[in-house]
Amino acid sequence: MTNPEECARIGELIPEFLAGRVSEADDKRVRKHLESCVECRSRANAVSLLQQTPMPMPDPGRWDHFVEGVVDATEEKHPPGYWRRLWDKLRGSRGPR
Amino acid sequence: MFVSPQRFNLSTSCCILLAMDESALIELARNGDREAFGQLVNQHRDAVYRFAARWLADSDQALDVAQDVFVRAFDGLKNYRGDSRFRTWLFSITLNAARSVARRQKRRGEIRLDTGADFPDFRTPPDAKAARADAFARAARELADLPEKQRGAVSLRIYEGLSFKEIGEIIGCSEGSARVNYHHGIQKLRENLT
Repeated sequence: MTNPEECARIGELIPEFLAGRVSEADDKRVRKHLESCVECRSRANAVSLLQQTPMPMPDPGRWDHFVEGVVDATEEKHPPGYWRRLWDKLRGSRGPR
Repeated sequence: MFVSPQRFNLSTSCCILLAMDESALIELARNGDREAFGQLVNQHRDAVYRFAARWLADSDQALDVAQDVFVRAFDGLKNYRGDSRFRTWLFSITLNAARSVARRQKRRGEIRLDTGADFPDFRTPPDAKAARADAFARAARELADLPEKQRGAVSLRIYEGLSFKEIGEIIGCSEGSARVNYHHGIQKLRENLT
């Protein structure tokens, strides 16, 4: 007979268990539970499938220029002189150099 | 290194930045140091993109969102108090940005066609490969179809390994509610995928 509290605890451990990142004690605990609980085994299979699902890969051209894209967008919002003015203001507000 | 040294005149300072801890980089970036900010972008772009891509199931939109997240983060650094991990804070911004994209898309009535399309070559026989690709596409679609909070809780738990406390901070609910959203999401996925 399954114990709902134990099922919930195992359900929370499953992602880390499948990734091999649980302690030895938790590893044994999850394995033992999965042997006897069909519901949790089924949930573990769903999590495993999701974890193996490849992530949609970004366009390499855009990915290689990611930081430049961020800096360009930031500079559009804050024109080039912004950085110098901000810096001078911050230095000034901290007293003499 | 991400940022072109010629363009941003990074060289020796870049090496110093690489050795700095995150809180020092944040402080520098808050004071307008764009090299430090570039270093922070470099450290977190993979995780931000990954979360957006899993949540939206669309690589182009995820890339737009990831760039937007760092632009918003730069503007919002002055409000970042360090109460949560920097990455957790970035994930909160990512979720807001991804939600905006999803809502705009819904309003326009756009249909996503490329879910799960960018699969690598698995070096398996054609039939098995096709079946595997179908299963993955279906899994990505089912995840993308979960209600927002459940999708956030499941993605952040199974792909990023975050605690429920952190997940709650990101999706905007208590730790207990983050747990409930995770379990409900997993239960729905289990019913639809197995």
